[in-house]
Amino acid sequence: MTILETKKLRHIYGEGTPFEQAALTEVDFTVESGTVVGIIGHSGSGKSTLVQHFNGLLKPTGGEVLLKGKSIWDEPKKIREVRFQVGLVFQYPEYQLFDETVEKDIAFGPKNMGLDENEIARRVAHAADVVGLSERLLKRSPFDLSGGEKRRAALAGVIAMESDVLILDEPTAGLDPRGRDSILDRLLRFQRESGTTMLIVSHSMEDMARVADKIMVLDHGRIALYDETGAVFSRAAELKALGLDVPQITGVFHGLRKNGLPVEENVYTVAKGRDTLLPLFRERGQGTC
Amino acid sequence: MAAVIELEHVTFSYGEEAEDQGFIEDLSLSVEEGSFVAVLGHNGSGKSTIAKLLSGLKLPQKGRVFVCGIDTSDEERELEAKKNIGMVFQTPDNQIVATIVEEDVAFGPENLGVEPSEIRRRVDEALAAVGMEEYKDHAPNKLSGGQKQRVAIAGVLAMQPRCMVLDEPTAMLDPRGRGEVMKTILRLREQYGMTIVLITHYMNEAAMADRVVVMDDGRVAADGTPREIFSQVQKLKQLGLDVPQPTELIDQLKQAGIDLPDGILTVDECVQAVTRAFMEE
Amino acid sequence: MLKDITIGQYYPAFSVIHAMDPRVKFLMMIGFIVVIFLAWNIAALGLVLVFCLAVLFLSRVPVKVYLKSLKPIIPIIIFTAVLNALYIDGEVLWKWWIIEITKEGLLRSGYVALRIIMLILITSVLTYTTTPTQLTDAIERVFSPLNRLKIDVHVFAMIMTIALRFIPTLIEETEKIMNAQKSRGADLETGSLLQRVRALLPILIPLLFSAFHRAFELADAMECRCYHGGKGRTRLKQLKCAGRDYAAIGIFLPVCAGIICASVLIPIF
Repeated sequence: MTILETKKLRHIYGEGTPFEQAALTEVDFTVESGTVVGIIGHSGSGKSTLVQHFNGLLKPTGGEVLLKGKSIWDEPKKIREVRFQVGLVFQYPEYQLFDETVEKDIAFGPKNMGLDENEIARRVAHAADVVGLSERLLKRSPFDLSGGEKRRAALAGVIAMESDVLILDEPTAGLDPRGRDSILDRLLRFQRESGTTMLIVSHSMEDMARVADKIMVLDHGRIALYDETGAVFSRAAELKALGLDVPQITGVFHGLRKNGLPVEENVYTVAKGRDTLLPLFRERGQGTC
Repeated sequence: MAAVIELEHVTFSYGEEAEDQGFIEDLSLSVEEGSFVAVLGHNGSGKSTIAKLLSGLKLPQKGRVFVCGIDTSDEERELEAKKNIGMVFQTPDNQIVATIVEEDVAFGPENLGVEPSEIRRRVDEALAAVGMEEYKDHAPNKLSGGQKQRVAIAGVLAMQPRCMVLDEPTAMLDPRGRGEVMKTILRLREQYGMTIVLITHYMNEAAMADRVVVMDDGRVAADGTPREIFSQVQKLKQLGLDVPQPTELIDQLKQAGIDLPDGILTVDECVQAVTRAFMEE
Repeated sequence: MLKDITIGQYYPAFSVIHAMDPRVKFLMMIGFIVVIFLAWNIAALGLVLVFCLAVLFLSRVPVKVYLKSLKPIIPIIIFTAVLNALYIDGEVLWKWWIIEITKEGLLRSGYVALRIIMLILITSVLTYTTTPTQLTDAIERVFSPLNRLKIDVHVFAMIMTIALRFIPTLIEETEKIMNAQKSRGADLETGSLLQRVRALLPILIPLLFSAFHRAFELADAMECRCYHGGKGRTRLKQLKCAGRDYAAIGIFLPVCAGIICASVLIPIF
C-alpha cells in the first residue's frame, strides 16, 4: 500500500524575486507502507527541501504531496494533523531540546497532540526505551546530557508522537562509531517492531546499505535513481557521475569482478561479502569449515 | 629531530561529574617536528582533552605540557606558546570572527601586532594555501562547511605556527567537505612541512598520517604506524572505533582460515589481496 | 521569511563613494544630518536635495535598491506628513467638518516628508557603500579619543563586529528551531497572547542556550588566535585619507555653508 506520494512536486525558492532558485523539479515519488527508504544526494541536491514538504513545513510551488491518498494541503488549517502523522527529525536535532527534564521534553510532541496523561506517560516511556535512555536520565535536564544522549533524547521526542511515517535527516551525523551503530541498530529494531514507514537521509553509503530497502538518489532537485538498494549500488558508474560513492564493500566486489572473479556486483554489506567469498575459497580448498 | 610537542605525565579531568567529557591520566606523549600524528578514540576517550591542553586553554593538574619547548603554564610566555600552535576546532561557524573572509584570516596576525604590509602578504599566502583566494571578499556565513573550515585553517596558518592541531575538523561536514579539508591538510604538510596533530574518529583519515595514537580511558591504548595499528581489527572494535569495510572483510576471511596479508586499509588493496589469494591456487 | 532581513547591508560596487575613507564618510553623514535639520526653507532644502541626489548618483548603487530601503518607512512618512498638514494653522485651502488643510500645513508636511526621506537615503548611502567591518573600524577610530576617558572603545567595536558576524547565523538557527518545534506540533499562530508567549519558550530557550555555547567556543578560538584585547594590535586594512577624501570634504563644507546661509538669509516662505 502506498502511504506517501508526490505528484509533479515542484519547489522554487523566492519565486518572483531576482533570487529565484528551483530546488525541486517534477518529483514523482511513492513510498510503500512499512518500508525503509534511503535518500541520498550531495549538499544542495534538494534533500532537505523534499523532506520538509512531507510534513507541510514547506508548501509546494506546484504539484501535490499525498498522505494515504489525500493531499496534505486540502485543508490548510489541519496541517498540524499532518505533522502528527509524519514525524520529522532534523539534522543535529539536539538544538530542539528545551524543557526542564528530558521526560517533559519528550512529552512535548504528545502533549501538543492533545493526548491524555496516561497515554503521554506510556509514549514517553516507550520512546525512551526505543532510543535507550535510562530512567535516571529522564529526570535530568536535557542540557546536562552528553552529546550522544542529547541526540537520543531529541529522537525520542519525535518517536513519542508515534507517527505513521518517520523521517530522519542524518540521524547519526557527528556521532562517533559506537554512538552511530547503537542508534542505527535501535532505529532499525523499532522499525521492524512497529512497522513504521521510515525515510532516512544520509551521506553514508555504508549506513544506507545497512538500513534501506529502497534508495532514492536526488540530483539537482530531480530523482536520478529510485530502486531496490542492491540495484542502486550495482550502478556504480552512474553514482560516480553524480559525485556519489558506493559502499566500500561494493567497490571491492566491483574490483574483484573486473579482475575476473566469479562474484555478483550487488554485494553491499561485509557479511554478504564474506558469505560470497568463503564458498569460493573453499571450493579451491582454502579455509577451515 | 626535536619534539615540537611534549606531554610529561599529564593528568587532567573536568571533575568527577563530567567524566564523559574526557579525562587524561598520567599521559606522556611527544610529537616530532614535521610529523603527522593522528589521535583516534571514541567520544570521551580523552582525545579532545589533549587538544585543550595543547592549546593552553586548559592547564594540566599534574605533569607538564611543552609546546616548542615552552611550558603552557608559563604565563609570561603564553602568547609565544599560542602563536606556535594553531588550533582548528570542530564547529566551523564558531571560530570565524570577522564578517569578511580575508579580515578573519588577518585576525591572528593583527593580534600579534604584525606590520600591515606583512599581514597582507600572509593573508594572501594563507588563502592561496587552502585554495580560498577567490572568496577573500565573501561573507563567511554564505560559505559551505568545508569552505568555512578551510578559512579557519587559513586563519591559523597566517599566524605562522610551527604546529597545527585539528580537533575533529571534519566531524560536522558532508563527504565533499571532508575531502576538501583532508586535501588541504595534506597540502600543508607537503608545502610547509607543517607538524600536524589530527584528532579524529574516522579511520580513513588517520590512515593518511605517519603515526596513529589510539586513546582509551585517558591513556594511550596503542601507538604505531597506521598499518601496525589497523591490523589489530578486534582490538580497534573493542575500543569503539570504526574499521573500514575492506579491513573488516579481510579480517573475517582470515578468521575463516584464508591466508591473507595484514594491514589492508583501502578498497584497492583489498581487491588486490583477495585476487592474489584467489589466483594462487 | 526571517532570512530576508538584511542588517548592515552592503552593496558591492566600484565607486568614488565606496573608495572613500569610512571615517570621512561617517563624519560627513553626521554633518549632513545636522544640516538637513538646519534647512528651513525651499532654497536650503533644494540645495540639500541636489547634494543628496548627487551623492546617490555617485555611489553607483541602483535607484531600485534605495527605493527598497525607503519602503518600510513609507507609513511613517505618510503619518507624520498627514499630522503636519492637519495641525498647522494658516491660510485655509480646504475645509470639511473640523478638518482644515492650510497652505502652511501642506508646505510643512512636504518639508517633513522630504527630510525623513533624505535622512534615510543618506544613511543608506553609508551602509550600502561601506562594509560593516569598515564601519566598525571607522567608529572605533573616530571615537578613539574617548580612550583617554578610560572608555575601551576597542571592546565596543569588537562586540559590534562579532554581533554583525553572528546575526545571520542566529537568524538561520531560529528558523531551524522553529521548524523543529513545528514538526513536534508546536502551535505558534493561534491562541491568546499569553499562550503565544508561552509557545515561544521552546524556541527562545534553545536559541539562548546555543548562543551561549557559541560564545564560549568563539572565546576559546579567539584566545587560541592570540587575542588579548586592543593593546598592541595592528590592522590589515589601514584607513588612509586620500585625495578624493580631501576633495569630498572640500565640496561638502561649502555646500553645508551654502545651505545654512540659504536657510538663515532667505525668509521662511
